[in-house]
Amino acid sequence: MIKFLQNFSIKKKLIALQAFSSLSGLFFTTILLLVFEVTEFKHDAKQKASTMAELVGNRSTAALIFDDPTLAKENLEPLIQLASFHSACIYDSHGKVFASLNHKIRTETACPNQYSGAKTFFKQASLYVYEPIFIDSELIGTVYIFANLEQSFLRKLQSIGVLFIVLLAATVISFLLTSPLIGVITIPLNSLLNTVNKFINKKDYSLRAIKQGNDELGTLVDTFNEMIATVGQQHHALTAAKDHYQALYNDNPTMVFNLSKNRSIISVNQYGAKQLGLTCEELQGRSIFNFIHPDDKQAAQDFFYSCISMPKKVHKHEIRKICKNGQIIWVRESARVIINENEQYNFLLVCEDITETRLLSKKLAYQASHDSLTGLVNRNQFDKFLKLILEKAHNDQSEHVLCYLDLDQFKVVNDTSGHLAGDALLRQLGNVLRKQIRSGDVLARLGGDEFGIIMSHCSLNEAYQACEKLRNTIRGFQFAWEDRSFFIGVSIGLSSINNHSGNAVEILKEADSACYAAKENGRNRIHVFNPDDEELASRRGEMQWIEKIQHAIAKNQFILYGQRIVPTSDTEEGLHFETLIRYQDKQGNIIPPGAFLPAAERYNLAPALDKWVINNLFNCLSNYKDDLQHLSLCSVNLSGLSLSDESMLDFINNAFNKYSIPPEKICFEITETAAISNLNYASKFITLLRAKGCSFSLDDFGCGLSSFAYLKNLPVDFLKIDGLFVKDIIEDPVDRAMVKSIDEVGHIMNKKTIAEFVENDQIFNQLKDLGVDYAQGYEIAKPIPLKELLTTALSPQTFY
Amino acid sequence: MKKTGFHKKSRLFLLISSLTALLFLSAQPFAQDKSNEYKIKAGYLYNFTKFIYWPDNESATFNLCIVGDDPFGSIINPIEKRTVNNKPIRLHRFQTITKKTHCHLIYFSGQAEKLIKKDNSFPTNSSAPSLTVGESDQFIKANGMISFFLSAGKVKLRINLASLKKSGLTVSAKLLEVSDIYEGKSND
Repeated sequence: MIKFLQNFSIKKKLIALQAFSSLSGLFFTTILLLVFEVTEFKHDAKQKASTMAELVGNRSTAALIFDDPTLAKENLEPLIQLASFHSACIYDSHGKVFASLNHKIRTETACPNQYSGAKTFFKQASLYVYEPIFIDSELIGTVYIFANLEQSFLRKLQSIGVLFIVLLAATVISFLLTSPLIGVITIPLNSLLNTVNKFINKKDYSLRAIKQGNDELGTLVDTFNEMIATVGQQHHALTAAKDHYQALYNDNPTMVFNLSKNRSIISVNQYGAKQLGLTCEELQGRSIFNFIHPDDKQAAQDFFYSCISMPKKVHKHEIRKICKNGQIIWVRESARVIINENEQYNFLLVCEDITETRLLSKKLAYQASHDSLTGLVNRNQFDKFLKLILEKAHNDQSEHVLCYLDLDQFKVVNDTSGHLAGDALLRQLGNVLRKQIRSGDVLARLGGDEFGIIMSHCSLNEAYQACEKLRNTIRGFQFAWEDRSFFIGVSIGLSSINNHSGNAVEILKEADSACYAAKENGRNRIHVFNPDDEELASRRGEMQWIEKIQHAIAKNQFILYGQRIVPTSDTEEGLHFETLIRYQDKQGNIIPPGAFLPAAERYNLAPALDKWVINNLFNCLSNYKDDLQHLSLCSVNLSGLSLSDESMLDFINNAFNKYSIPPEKICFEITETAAISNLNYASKFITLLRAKGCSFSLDDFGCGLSSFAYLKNLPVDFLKIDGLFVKDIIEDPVDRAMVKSIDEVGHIMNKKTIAEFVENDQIFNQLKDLGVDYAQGYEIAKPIPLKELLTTALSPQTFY
Repeated sequence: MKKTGFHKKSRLFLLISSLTALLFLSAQPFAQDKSNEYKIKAGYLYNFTKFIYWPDNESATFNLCIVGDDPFGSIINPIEKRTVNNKPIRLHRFQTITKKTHCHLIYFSGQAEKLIKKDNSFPTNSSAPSLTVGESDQFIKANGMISFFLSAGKVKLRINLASLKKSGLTVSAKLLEVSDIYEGKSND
């Protein structure tokens, strides 16, 4: 009942309550009335009948005692007047009927013949009265009256019915009168409810309920209004915070996924959805594996398993994802397991797009392992391959071959047609070589014009034949640049990679040495490394020089020498010499520069060596400051690399300042190839130092296939004619003509000439005849330690 | 005291049983049997005491006097176990009325009816009235108060109301209702 009422409106409840209380009141009143009236009625009837019976009995005492039934019957007569009367009797003391009276019509209920000793009782609407008759406490008889009260009863009920109807009418009227009072409660309540509904529909926090009284409902309205105000404020604060965090979540430049335990997407931020090319809603419920690159799916599976197995750890890996448009992006995924409110685990997955980084690192990795010019594997990567194949050889006794290729006439192309030509040649040659090698072999560019090939699973014999083919191919390759064409050759050194091989550096050295040997043997040939090969023994030392040179520079293990240069004429000129360098080993042996200078040039140590020479020379000269008037000119060599070393100019200027050396006493010697290969910079270098007062000489002039045309652009003061022409000048008329023409051109260009390799007087005289200005050579003066030279030449006592 | 209580109880029992016997007899229509008739009459004598108001007097007992030949014999003896106004009934049998005993009720038998006086006054040491009962019309006529007569085999009563009133005794109307009232003139 109460449950049934619960869903009613309050108005209906109040009406029900009122109706229920009224009706229950009416009901109980009616019941009570009925019970009371019936009881009262019965009691009255019984009382009345009993009194009657008592009267009759009292009157009949004498009749009973003196045996007068007629009188007794007369005494009963008045009872007939009773409406409900049916029959009456008087029994004597033995219970026998003494006198009886029956209703004239209602004869069916005559009194029983024998009194059984019963007491007065009601049976339904029938009343049976038994009234004993006493005299002096002696029972002398009993009066019996039987009355049927049915009619009276009905009348009683009728009157109760009328009363009930009156009560009902009164209840209904009072109900109708009080009903409007319900509105006192329901109207303010409905007003509040309307406001609440409006608030819910419109979410308008400025809404306020109207207070209609100061009762509990009024308090409720006040409380509600306060609550809405508070909620409004909190809503604003929450909205702001939500927007803030939503922006943080959605616009965060990472993809943030919440995944269910079966890896389907529960939620994703907008940035993530945008990256994948779908909306957040479209992504919901789809498996994350739909967006993982097929090759990475297993890795992703493993990744999630590791997340589950170590739930406290944040797991990271990099993986490819596929967007809707098929684009593949690289992401770095960070994930961990989170336990949700239902005690089930989810995955929190954050993906950072690292595609660009990946591409860049891939490019860098490629660049790190490849030569940018030819696209071939570079030295670094080649070393790695070499180590791998060496390991393999050690492991399975397999045999492989390392080939070291050095182009023969590359320098010519570079020097005469420029770097662009050289680069083009290398590129074309790279392609040619690439086509020649087997697919499993590794071809790399190891240096300027040097290439390496690792021929795997190959005997020396087979390699030799393959290299022969390569050599022929290169020989037959014609390189055309502008209107010129070049033929080049290649020197190839072979070294076996087998079980007995040393480390990768040693193998590389062997191949390099073999290549060098091939060059030494006349270029464009193939040489297989032989450990017993004596000619290679010295060559093998070149690499060892790298460390020695560096060490010697630091520890000043070089010694400066000087060799006089003398004029062919008899004029006095003071001391003129070329500064030379020697290495003194630990045993005190003096090693000539031919042993280490190529290594210095090759391994880019020449500028450092040049700086050491300049520094020490100037230092040495500064000790003879007062005698420098006796010094005519001191020449010092500058390597080609030093010319292009940007710090060299500053270094020289500083050295001049530091040691206060007059620049006009110093002449820098440069080779024509060094000058020509970097003509512009060399010109600038020369011009700047000449402006200070220094002079320049062009070393080894004539051997480098150089053209006289360059001389116009090189503001040098001396030409040093290459010793190759000079030494055979007596026997060879061509050489003599060459020297002569160089000398003439030099003179025409206002340059003085110096001849090298002057080994005897005949040559000296010949040169003198030819008009060469200076001579230098063993015959004239051998190189001697600089200090010795300066001491003897500059001191006045030993004035030359 | 206990003994006295016991006696009272046993006496009550006897009383009830004898009364029941009396009433039974009275209710039984009797034949020409004289003893039955006198049983009823004896009962009636006792019953009169209930419908007559007796003025109080100094006598400690209720004296029932049978004057003349005793027609009851021993039948009436149990009446002595009963009381009237808490006074035990005592039977007295006289041939004539004596001065010694005051009789509350005098039953005149046979020839003794002649002893009735017109004013119903008898030699006695008490001023209290006496109820006089006889058996013939002459008795009533001679100012006797109550007489028995037989009608349809039943013992009936006839009352000389004037005589009764004159004596100073009060009679219950109930008794009058069951009796035949003698309207004859009073002889005073």
